Amino acid sequence: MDTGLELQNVSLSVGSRQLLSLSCSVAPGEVITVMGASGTGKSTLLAFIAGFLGDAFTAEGRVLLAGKELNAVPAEKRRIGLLFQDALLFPHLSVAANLKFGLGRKVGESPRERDLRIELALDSIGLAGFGDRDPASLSGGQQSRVALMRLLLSEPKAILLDEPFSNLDMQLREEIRTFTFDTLRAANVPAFLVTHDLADAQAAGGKIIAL
Amino acid sequence: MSWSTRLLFLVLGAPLLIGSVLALAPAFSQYTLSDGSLNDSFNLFAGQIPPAFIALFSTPGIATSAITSLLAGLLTPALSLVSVFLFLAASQRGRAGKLIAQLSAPVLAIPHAAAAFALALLLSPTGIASRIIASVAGWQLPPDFLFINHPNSVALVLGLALKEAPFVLLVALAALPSTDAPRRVALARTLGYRPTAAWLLTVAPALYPLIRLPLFAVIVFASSTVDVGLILGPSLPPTLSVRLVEWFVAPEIEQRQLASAAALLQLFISLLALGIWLIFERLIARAYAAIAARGAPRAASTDMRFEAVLTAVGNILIPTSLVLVLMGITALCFASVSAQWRYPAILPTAWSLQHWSAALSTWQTPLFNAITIALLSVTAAIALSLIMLEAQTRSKAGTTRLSTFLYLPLLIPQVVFVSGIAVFAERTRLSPSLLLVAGGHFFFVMPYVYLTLQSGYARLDSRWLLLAKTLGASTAGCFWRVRIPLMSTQLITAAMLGLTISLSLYLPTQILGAGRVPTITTEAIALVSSGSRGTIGTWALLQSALPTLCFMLALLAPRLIWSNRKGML
Repeated sequence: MDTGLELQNVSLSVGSRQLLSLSCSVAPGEVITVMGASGTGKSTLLAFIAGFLGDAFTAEGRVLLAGKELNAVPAEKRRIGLLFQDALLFPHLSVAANLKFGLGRKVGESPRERDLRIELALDSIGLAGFGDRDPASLSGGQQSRVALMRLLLSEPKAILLDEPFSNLDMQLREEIRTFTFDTLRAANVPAFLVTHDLADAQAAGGKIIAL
Repeated sequence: MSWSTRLLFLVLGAPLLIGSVLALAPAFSQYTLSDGSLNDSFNLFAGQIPPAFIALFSTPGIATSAITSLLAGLLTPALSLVSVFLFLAASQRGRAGKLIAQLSAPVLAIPHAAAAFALALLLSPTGIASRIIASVAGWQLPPDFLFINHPNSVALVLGLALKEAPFVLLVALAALPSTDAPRRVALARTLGYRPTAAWLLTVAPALYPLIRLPLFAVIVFASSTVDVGLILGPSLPPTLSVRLVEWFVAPEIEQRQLASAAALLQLFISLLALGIWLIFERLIARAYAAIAARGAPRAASTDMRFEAVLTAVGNILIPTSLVLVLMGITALCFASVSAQWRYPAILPTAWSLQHWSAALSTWQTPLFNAITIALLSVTAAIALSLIMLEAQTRSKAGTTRLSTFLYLPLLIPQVVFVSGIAVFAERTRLSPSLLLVAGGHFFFVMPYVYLTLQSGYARLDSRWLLLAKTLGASTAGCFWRVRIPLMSTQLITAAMLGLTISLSLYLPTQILGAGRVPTITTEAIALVSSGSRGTIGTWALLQSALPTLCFMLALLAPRLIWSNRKGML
């Protein structure tokens, strides 16, 4: 049975100062929100889960994904996707190449079938025919949607969201937030949201952990 | 020491040390005659002076040569620094200032030798400047005044400063944003100081420490240059470095020992220049402290006339140097297509393409050599820099000690260690070849390539690599699919900068190639004594063409490659 993402007795510290300690589990399709002011170690927690914690930090406890311990697995093998504050579409690649960057390879899939998957993905986020475009020519909202789709196409087993809406203006934030959470629920992956905005947490609709 | 630091020591530090030691060692050996017998024996430990030094110090005019080198090493950076600081102070807000700064950048691409030739054609007794004055003053004969090659070395310092001032200007402009200059000036002005004086009193002391190391490189370069010394320097006697090379390439072994002793003297002169510069640093810092303590905003620094003089001088020096370079290049162009150029005509009196057709029939080999050497040395420098930077990013280790090795090739006079490397090559029976010359070029290309790429590494947002990893890219994938394309502009800049430097290098090519690996640069400089205005003009232009092309490519290539990727520009 898939138990989603699990944190067991996780404790993070800098030197002798403890930042946080936490145990929780996120089921597939669920979005758990961690809230806290800056400096409480929210981003450090995400770095620990994703597998690139800086040398300055010490961490204890276990991270489990679908029942398997991840602590010794390098970041690129964990299959944990990250959504940043900015869309971060690779500026040197076209929109389609951005989507293809993390696209999982299916056995016996021809290049044409891969292209078709990209086209379908673009269509599903309302950007049909945008494949050859320069990402810099897309609007902020369009970029956010491509970034989310790129993440999903890499078929992550869990998704971490690091204040993903804080750089969007109010109007766009509402729209992208709804789009993101609907898409995440449909994708049925466990998601871990870090934010300081209560509206984000409420829209996520899952448990809220305050640090 | 991390392994990457060790690697750098192996490829940069060790050859530099070995080269320097080998360059200096013969000076302490017993004096050998051409037939191999010992002429004289001495005991260094009994306090006897090695014969090579006795020979060196009894060489006529050696003191003059040394002093000329020392003065060039001090006056060039001083003139460059003063004109750059006054220019920055005077042109703080003006749009003209920005334009001038942009115009100075291409001057960096012009080889030192070509700039020196340009100045020579401009300011010689029959040069363009003299012809212009003649047309106004009605001279019929060229003035009987030797400016180029004059023992007073004014032309040498001027020629060096024409190239070094733009270098100092660009280094200063790169460092300027971190000094918070506008706010410093604004504050000083509210306290009653005039703008130019305010800049000099508040921004200059913050800016100077940031450009100190490049200035040291200018000091060492100016005190030991060979090509500019040959073209513009005094001839009776020439500068120390020019004489050193003459002795080094002479077939007699005594001369080699003399060259070795001269190399030690050259090292001493360059270090002495640095030492004197450091003393002046202290004195000026004290003067600054005194001015600040006196704090009289309503005295000299508010005096309108004082401010006006400072501003005027600041606005004149750098633009004048640009005008000189432009006029000099025009002079090269005219000379290269002249068949006859009677004094005092401003334009050639008869035109011809003979110089070009003559040059084009012999330029293939030198051009091929120059390009091969440049590509080899730059490829090696880029590869090594990337290996080291990758290693550092992955290990997260400190990088502080690295920069010392990197700056060494710029802080040890070229003549000293290049001649040592040549001795090393002779002893290990490495024959002069393209590869050996490229190896020599590598030392001078590496520091600039590494520093350019290092700033590219520092500037790249680390989230790109985290993102690539979470999308499943391997470490190698992150490097090739993300790091390299995102840093493409810096890579192109580094490559073009490296190519420009290599294409212009004279001394390592001449010494390590033992005259058997001609490049455009060595061929151009070999023409110094020919005295043919037309041939010199043609070759100086040929020599400038490739570096200028590299400079334009560095600007254009990213725009062409990424024309459809706005986020990359």
